Amino acid sequence: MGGAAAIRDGLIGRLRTCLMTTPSDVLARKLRRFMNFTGEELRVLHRLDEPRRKVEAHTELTVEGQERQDCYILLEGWAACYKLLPDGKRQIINFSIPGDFLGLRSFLLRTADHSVVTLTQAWVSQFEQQRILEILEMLPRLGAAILWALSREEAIVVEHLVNIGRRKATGRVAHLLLELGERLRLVGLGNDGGYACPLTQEELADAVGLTPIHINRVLRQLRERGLATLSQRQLVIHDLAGLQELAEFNIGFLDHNGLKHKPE
Amino acid sequence: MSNEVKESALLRKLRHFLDFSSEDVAGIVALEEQELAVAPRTEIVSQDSGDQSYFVLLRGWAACSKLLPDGRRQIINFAVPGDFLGLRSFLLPKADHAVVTITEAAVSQFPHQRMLDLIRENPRFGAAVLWALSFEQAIVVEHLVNIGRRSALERTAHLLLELEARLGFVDLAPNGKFELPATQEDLGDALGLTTVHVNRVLRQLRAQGLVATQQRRIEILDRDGLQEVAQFSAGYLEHVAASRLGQRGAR
Repeated sequence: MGGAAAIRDGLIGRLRTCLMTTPSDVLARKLRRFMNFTGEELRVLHRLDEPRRKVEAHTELTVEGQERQDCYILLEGWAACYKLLPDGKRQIINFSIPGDFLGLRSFLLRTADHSVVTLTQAWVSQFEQQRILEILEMLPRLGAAILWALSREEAIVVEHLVNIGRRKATGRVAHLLLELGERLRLVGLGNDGGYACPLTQEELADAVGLTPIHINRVLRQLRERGLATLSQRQLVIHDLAGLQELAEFNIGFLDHNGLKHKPE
Repeated sequence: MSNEVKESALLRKLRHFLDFSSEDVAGIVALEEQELAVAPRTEIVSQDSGDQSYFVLLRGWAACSKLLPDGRRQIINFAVPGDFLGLRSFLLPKADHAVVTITEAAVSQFPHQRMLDLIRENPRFGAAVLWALSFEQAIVVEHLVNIGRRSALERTAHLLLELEARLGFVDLAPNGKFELPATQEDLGDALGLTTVHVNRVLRQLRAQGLVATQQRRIEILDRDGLQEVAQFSAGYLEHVAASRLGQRGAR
């Protein structure tokens, strides 16, 4: 068991992340995976990051059914997009991590088709949907990068559908944990050894269509099989290959190469 | 069903969103010029294929699905006339899903570059494409809620109401009656249920007097009752209409 080594790697990773990532950088860092930007495009992108404001944990940024929706960029912290059923059950559609847009998904809908809530204390910047349309018109390349981020997010939602529809409980949880790891790594917040993960068992349960009790059992299995340990808001991955095999994880859907798969 | 359709399903659908000039209409009609007949159960888009082509489904039904390495299949969405096929992976280097026809179908194909050119030449067309994508995405999200948190009966009722609403957009569900060519196996793969379970649930819906089924036809008999079972709210199918984006595009 490489438990101690993995914990050490995790710590080093976290330290490195703190040093490397300034919050304002996360969106550009993500979109740069799609293409290289001109100076002007970068300036416009960075302007979306301002003004930033602090939001407490468990604050609703968007409420399902609300008519006017602003868009946000999550600069720091975690959030969840979810839908509530009339009987109070909740389905988390996706978790949001730094560098993600919030509320952009349904910007063509008459009303927000989902709610967005912060899971941790967070920093966000807020802007009107109109801004995105202006960018699409004036800076089509940057517009394309934003659309790429949106299609990527949709690919993630589709993967969640496959996850719940067709994978067994352990595979589902493993798949979600791996997906989050890859997404966090893209913005400099994780590595092969793991990442800081503030999710509760209830939040995990609402994302993968299980009960919190079931999640508890699955997490124990992952730990006992020497694959991964989630405790004290830190996921430590002991056996990345084993976890990937269990989850039938194929990173393709995250398209981390963007347009750059073509030689430049 | 009559084959004599004056206006294409795609136009009928997009008109819910934008008022088109005759020039716009000409552009869209041109997209659908070359009609291709496809046999049932034919793969039109292959998962992981990098050869990106898109289609408009003119007639018939198709299923967009994702295949797991062990052969299991999750249907992401059914496609009905007027829907784009393969457009979901527009900006991805490879198709992240497969599209297979369910019935005999007619499609028209347009290459990636054609699509980009059209969007560049006509921003209003671009807006309409975005709208169609976001519409489809709202449906996928609802499917996630469906299999994550609704019971077998609720999710089946929900899917039937959604299909009726979508077919209604293209005038294919008059008076709550529509063709449902998907087999119980297809429905099971969309709903995360077994075929046996789907069969049982459909019987239950019939027994409660909510729907009638005959061959491949469905009739919604008690809309309120069915909506109550499904906890159905059509909000996710209602998009911003021309008033908002149309004006923006016309500036």
